Amino acid sequence: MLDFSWWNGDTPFGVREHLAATEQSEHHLPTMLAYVRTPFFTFAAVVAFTMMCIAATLFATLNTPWLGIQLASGTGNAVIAKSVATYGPFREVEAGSKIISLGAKNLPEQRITPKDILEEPDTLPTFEQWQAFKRNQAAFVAIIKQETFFATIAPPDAEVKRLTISATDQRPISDLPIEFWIQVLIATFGSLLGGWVLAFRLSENSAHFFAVCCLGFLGSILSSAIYGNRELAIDVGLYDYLSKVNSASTLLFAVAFASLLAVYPKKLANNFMIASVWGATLVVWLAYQLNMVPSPLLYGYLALLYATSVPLLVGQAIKARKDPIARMILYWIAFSFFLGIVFYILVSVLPIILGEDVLIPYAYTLLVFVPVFLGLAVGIGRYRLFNIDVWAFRLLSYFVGVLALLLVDIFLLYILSIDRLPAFGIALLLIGLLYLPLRNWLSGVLFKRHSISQLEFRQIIDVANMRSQAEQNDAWRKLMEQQFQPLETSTQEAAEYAKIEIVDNGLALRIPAIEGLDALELRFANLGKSLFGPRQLNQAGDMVALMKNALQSQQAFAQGVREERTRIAQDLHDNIGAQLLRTLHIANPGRKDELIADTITDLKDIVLNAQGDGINLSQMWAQLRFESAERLEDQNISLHWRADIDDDTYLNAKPAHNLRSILREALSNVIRHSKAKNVDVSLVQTKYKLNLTVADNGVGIADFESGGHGIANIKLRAEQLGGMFAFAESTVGTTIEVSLPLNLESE
Amino acid sequence: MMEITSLLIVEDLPEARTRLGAIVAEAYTNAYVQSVGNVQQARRAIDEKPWQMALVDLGLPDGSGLDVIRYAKKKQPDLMCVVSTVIGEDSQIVAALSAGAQGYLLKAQPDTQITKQLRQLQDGVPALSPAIALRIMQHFQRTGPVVSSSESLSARETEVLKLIAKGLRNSDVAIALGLAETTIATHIKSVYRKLGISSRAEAALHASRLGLT
Repeated sequence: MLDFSWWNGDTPFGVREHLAATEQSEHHLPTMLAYVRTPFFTFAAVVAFTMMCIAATLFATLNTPWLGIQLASGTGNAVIAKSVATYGPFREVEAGSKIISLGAKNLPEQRITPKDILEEPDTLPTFEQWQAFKRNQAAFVAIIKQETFFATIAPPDAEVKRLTISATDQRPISDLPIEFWIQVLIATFGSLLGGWVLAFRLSENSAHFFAVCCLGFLGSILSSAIYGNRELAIDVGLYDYLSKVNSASTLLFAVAFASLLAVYPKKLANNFMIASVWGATLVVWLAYQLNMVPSPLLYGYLALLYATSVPLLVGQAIKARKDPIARMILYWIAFSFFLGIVFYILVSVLPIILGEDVLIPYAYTLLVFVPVFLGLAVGIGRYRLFNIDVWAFRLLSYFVGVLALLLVDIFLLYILSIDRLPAFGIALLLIGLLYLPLRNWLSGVLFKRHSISQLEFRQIIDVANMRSQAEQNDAWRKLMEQQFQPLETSTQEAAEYAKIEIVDNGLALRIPAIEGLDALELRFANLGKSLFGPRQLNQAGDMVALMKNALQSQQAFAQGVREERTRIAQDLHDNIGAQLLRTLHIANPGRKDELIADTITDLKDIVLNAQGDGINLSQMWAQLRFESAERLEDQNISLHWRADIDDDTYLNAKPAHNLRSILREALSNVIRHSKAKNVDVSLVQTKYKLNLTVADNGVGIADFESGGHGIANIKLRAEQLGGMFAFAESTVGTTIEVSLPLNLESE
Repeated sequence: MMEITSLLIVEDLPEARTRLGAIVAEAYTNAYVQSVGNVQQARRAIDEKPWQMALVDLGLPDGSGLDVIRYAKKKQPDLMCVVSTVIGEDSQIVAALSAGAQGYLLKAQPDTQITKQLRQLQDGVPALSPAIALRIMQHFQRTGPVVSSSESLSARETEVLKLIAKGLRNSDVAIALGLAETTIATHIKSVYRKLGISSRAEAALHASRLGLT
């Protein structure tokens, strides 16, 4: 069964909405009836009906005595056996033999003429000729139905002879010519197309007319397929019936087609006018059935009905000028008519190429209707109308390519007299070399994919950098308006569009809300001159993606700035603020200077620690080594330095500051009090700790408790970090040990 | 070795100007010192007469000290430019060095230290702190392979920079490498020179990418 899932929400009349509408009316209607109105049911019904018609056609075609011979008109009013079925009743007859007459015991011998094998006996100009045709058919049927009958034939190079033949009861299905199947296929195609449109447009006049049109098409083709593909004779009762169906169907097709163009896409004629045409058509048909109207008159009337499509199309074109959708529908219909003509040319040219008889079998001319019906169905179904330019180009370019191939081939064959096979090869090569690159180039020019220009890129970034939401919204809206030139733009604050989509058959483009930007709906592209199509969709998609990205990076950046500002404020408050406050209360100018210098170093840490990943311990320690050596050198104290630390240990501002202060304080003590000549500084990193040892060879501190400010500060700073401070036992000078926990960066 | 006899101070804060003036007077006893407060005045001073040395603050009210250094290098290529800065942000100093500065002073240091550094500069011994040495190495790594060998660091120079980055002073480096201290000074001067040259070429691009200029 057909899958309807592809019919998504692109169109306002999708299955879902149709079902929704049905559900709404459910309390009025019994459930069964509601189901009947679904597109699925309608379509299924049409499929079932079509299948039944085909089954009936097959039955009527096969349930007839079989001769196993394909007849064709030969020279001089003769009928020849074009081909003979190997296992058929005529198997002894050589193909190409003239079939002169048939006869049977007790029945008059009946001559066979080309008139007897006419595909369309309805075209016989007079009623008398038609009657004569039917009489002959009846006579042949009577002969063939006999147990045995005889046929008088003239083989190509031999004497006339008479054969005794008995027909089989059933025509085998394999005997049906390809033309029969083409007819069935095209009739089915038309019928299903009509069903498809009807399924989705159950309540629209245009769809009704189109469906009737397709019904007429089906009836006309299937009825003529039965008698047109007969071997020689058909039961006259059946033929009479089929002939009625055929003429009625053909008229139905023509009148429905004219009515369709009279009401769609714009209403040109009122109901009364349409009803009058239907009435007139009914009268013509009845008159034809009563033999009051000869067939040329009937065909004249049909031609008249078809001819009205030209003024109707012109009228539609005039009326649709200001309606982009109607115009697009007309484009489709006009384009499909054009394709039909191209097809007709192809079908006419093909036999010449293939070297066959120039006469085209009726079945092939039916191919003309394929593009016409497709175009009409798409136009009435309004299925993805906005794709027309792409599709039209593709189809047209293929047809033009094939046409060019055939014309080149004909030129080579008939003008340059080149043999058939090399001529075709040369033609193929020429088309491949010349036409295909041209086509691709043209396609590239016409359907160039939009790529974001530098200017647009900058505009998008500018939108992202606007200060306020309102400004951003405004700029984004202006950018979209500049891109697509819609007649209307509406901000959809509450709308929750899931994606960028084209709605109302290309009248509107919806752009979803992006990162705080309001959703937009743009209506009437290019100042109302065109519809929104896939190209606009792509373009909008690219711009929305870029806009989204720009906004997200902008927000990430803003977030980063906020976090960094918070960190700096925190650090400034905790370190610089506290330290300056302490400095404020110190009287000793030398000490004050020292502290201020320290504070400046801390400030540098805070400013430089912009990445927030902390201060690199080994770099800090290198700087301290340099600085300490300078200080101690001034006092003629030598420094021995040992650093056993990882290169990738990072500290936060606070522990970095404390560690630095501890070392500076310790060295200040050495310089001030120890009278030492040498200092050993060692920093060793273990898994969980940093162990700092500062040892001098000076006089030592007599009283540990009166270590002065310096020692108290070191102790305090170590304890602030959860560390320990101690004097170590030593024979000379003073040794202090500080141990700091190494989860410092996470505190 | 040369004696500094003329020195230009480019510094916008009056207090800092006074302090630097006093320090310079102590370091270079025979020097004529002039102080200016912005880029415009500095240019005028450079146009007016030749100078031996200029102490340039980077943040000036009407522009960057970098402009002063570039202008000075253009007008008086022999003028020794020294950056003076409070915080001493590494990137700023490296930018100044690649603009042609031949040294830098950290104003937060005690007077005695600054005096000492000025004297060393006069003796042709440029100072280089661990952080700056590290930055310079990174700078040369990022500018990638340079076409001319005269613009890339030699193995010895890289070695010297590495040791300085670890906290060793010139004298310590000299001991560690078994070289004379003057040799170390020569290497450092060479590094400064190459920094100035390399930055004029494609390095400028990398420097700006790193936020150095």
